Amino acid sequence: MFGFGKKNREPSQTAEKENSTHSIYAVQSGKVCEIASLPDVVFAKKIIGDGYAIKPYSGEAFSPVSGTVIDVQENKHAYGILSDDGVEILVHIGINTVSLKGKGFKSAVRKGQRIKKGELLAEFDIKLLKNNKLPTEVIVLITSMDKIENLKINYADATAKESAVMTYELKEKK
Amino acid sequence: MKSFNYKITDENGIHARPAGLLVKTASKFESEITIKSGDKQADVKRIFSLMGMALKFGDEITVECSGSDEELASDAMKEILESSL
Repeated sequence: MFGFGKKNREPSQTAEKENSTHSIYAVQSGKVCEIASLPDVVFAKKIIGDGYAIKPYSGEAFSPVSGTVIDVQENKHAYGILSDDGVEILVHIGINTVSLKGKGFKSAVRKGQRIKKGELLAEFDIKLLKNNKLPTEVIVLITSMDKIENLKINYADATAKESAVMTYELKEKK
Repeated sequence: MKSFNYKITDENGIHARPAGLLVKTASKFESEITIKSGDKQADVKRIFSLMGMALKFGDEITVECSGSDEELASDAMKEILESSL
């Protein structure tokens, strides 16, 4: 995996060149950071998958792709989405937020429903997270990394729903 | 097939983080690895299959490993469950 952690090219440049390039959009407005910098080894060491984190300015998370909601955790802090191109994505709001037992979280979706890129996934209380000394980063991970190649992440300020933060190509099926 | 029972002792059950650890461990083995609890079951190599079970503190689970490396897989699953859940 070359090029990780380095400044990547603008996703739009590669999108023009390669029509098989897919995008995962900003779940939030904020600064995109490397998951390797997160204070939890399971995320930092990419054990669940590779992806990005955004330090949020507001307490809303929007779907980074169009697809189907495949999991809504009981505590409303984590969501699974199967994108229309067959990639599994985990959206995890904050770190150790499972401990809040749903307090401060409001889900806007239910398991099994369709969701479009940019539609509201969940709302959360940033102040409550901070008061509980929990990191507020919203983490977006591809959990089916075996299907992915040429993953590029644009570490810059992102705008919710609009910025293509990650681009990738699907591996040819064997 | 190798199987063993386990009781979830993590206060928060199997949520995203521990599910990730289980998937990582399970994926090292060729064997099929399944967790069953009541009428629910999950493929431990697929994170949303596991998270969808919504296993909670105190739930009793059965872990089944089936394949050429089932002995090693079973030992590894037991170890990761005992150390993190």
